Amino acid sequence: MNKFSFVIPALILFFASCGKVYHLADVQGRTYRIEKASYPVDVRVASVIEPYKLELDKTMNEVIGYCEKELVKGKPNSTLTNWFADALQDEAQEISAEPIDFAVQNYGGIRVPVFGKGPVTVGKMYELMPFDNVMYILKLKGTDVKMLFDKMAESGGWPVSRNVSFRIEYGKAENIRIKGAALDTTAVYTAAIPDYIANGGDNMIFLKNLPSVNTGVLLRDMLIKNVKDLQAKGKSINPQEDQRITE
Amino acid sequence: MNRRKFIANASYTGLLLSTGTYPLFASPSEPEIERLTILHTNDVHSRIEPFPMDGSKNEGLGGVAKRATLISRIREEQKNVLLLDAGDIFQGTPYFNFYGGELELKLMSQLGYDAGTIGNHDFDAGVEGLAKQMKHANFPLLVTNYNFANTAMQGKTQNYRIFRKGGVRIGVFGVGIELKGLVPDKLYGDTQYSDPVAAAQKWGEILRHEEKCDYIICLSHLGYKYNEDKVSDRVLAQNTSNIDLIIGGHTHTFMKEPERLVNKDGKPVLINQVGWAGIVLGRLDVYFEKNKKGTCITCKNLTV
Repeated sequence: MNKFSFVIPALILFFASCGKVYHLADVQGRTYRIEKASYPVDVRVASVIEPYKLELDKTMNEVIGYCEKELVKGKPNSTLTNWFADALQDEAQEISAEPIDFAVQNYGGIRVPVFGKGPVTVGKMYELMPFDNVMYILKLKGTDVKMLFDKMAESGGWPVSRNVSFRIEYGKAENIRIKGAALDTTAVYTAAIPDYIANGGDNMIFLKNLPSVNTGVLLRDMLIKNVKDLQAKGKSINPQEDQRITE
Repeated sequence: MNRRKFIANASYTGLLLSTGTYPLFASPSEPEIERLTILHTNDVHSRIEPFPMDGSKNEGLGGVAKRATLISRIREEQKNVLLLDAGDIFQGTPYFNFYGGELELKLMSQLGYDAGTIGNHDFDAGVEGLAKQMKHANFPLLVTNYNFANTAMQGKTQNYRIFRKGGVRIGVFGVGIELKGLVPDKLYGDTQYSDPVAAAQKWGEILRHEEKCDYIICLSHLGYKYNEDKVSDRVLAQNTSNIDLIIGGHTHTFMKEPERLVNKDGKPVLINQVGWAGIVLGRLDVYFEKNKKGTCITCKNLTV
C-alpha cells in the first residue's frame, strides 16, 4: 500500500466527521435483582473467595459455649436483651476500678431477633453484633440518668442491666431504682454503654458532652469473653426474663 | 419520535456500524448512534457471599460470584460498558473484620470495576487501613472533596478519570459525605472534608470545558435525600452545572428508576441508587447521537 492510498480515505474521514458532536439522545434504566437461583456462580471468582472462606469458617465455627434455651429479643424486657445488658455490666466491672452502677445497650444494636439454643459459635456472636462498636464508661448526673431512661421509655424500653428497674408511664420512666435505691438526681452514676449512643447516636445527643472513657473493648469481644468465662466455670447462658422495666 | 422507532433506528445504526463504512455513506436521516451501558452498585458492605439462609428478609440474595456472571453476560452483549461503585465497599460481614477489605477490593478488580468512590464505612479500619488495602485495587477511587494530604491515603486517590467508549468521552469524578459526627475522629484522622457542591461545580466545569467530556458522571456517597437541611444527591443535582448522572449511595435507597431533575442551568440530571449489599445491579443505557452542533434527530426531552 502506498502512502497516497492511506492519506485520501483518512482525509475523507476527517471532513465527514468534522464539526460533529455527541448529543445526549436518550437514557433507559433497568435493574437486575440477584436472587438465589438467578445466575450461576462464576467459578473463577468463587475460587478466589474459597481460601478466605475456609479460613474464616474455621474461626467462625469455633464453639465457645452453650446456650440453655432460645433467647428472644423483645421490649421492654426479654431474655436476649437482659443477658446482653448484664454481660455489658459484668465485663465493664472487670476492667473498671470503680463500681459500675448499670449498663445500657441500644435496642437496634442487637442484630438478631432470636439467639438459638445449643452450642454457641464465634460466628453467632458476629451475627449478634456485626459492627465494631466499643464499650464506653460514662459519668452521668442523676438528671442525665432520668433523661436517658425517659428516652428509653419513649421507645418502649431498651436493654438495661439487672441493677435498674423503672415503670413506663405515658412514655416516661417513673419510679426509677438503681441498686435498690431510688434515683438520686443530685448523685453521679457510672454506666457502661456502647460508643454509638455515648457519641449521641439514636437521639442521645445529650450524652455526647458527658465525661467518658473509651475502653477500646469491642462489644463483640466482650460478649465472646463472657461466654468463654461461663464455659470455663462449667456454666452456660441461661438468662431469666425478669421484669426490670414494667409498663 | 416514539421509543420503538428510536430503538429500531439505534439497531439499524448498529448494523451500519458493523460494516465499518458508516461515516462515509450514512445519510443524514440515519444518524450515527453510540450506546454506553453503565452498570453500578453501592453500599455492598462486604457482602461477598449471598445472605445466609436463616429465614431473614434477604436470605439467599446477592453474592459477588453471581454478580460476576451477570456482568460477564452484559459485557458479551454490549461493547461500551462502564462498571462503577458509589462507596461503602467495606463493613458488614466478618470478611471485613478478618481481612480488612482485601477480598472486597480483589474481587472488584477481578469483576473489572472501572472506578469507585469512598464511603464513610471505608474508613472503618482507619485511613491507614484503607491505604493498606489499596494495593488490591486495580481501579481508581475517585473523590474530589477529601484532602488526604498528611494521611496514609495521600496520592492514592484521584479527582477524576476519563473513559473513551466508542468515541464518546466520559468523565467520572467522586464526592464524599461529611465525616465529622459520622465516622469516629481517630479513624479518618487528618482527612479534610470540603463542600461537595463547590467541588462538583469546579470539577464538572473542568471535565466539560477543559477535558471536553461528552458525558459527566458523579459518583456520590452523600445520600439520596434528607428531611433535614443536609447536602444530598438531590441538592447536588439542582445546585451544580455539567453533571449528567449521579450514581449515589449511603442511604441504601432502592430506586425503581432513575430520578430526573433539572440542574441550575435548566439542564437534565439523573440520579440513581440501587439499595445495598449487592442485592441489585443497576443499569443505564445512554444513547448518543453523533451529529452537527444544534442538530439531533433522536434526542429526547430528558427532563420529562
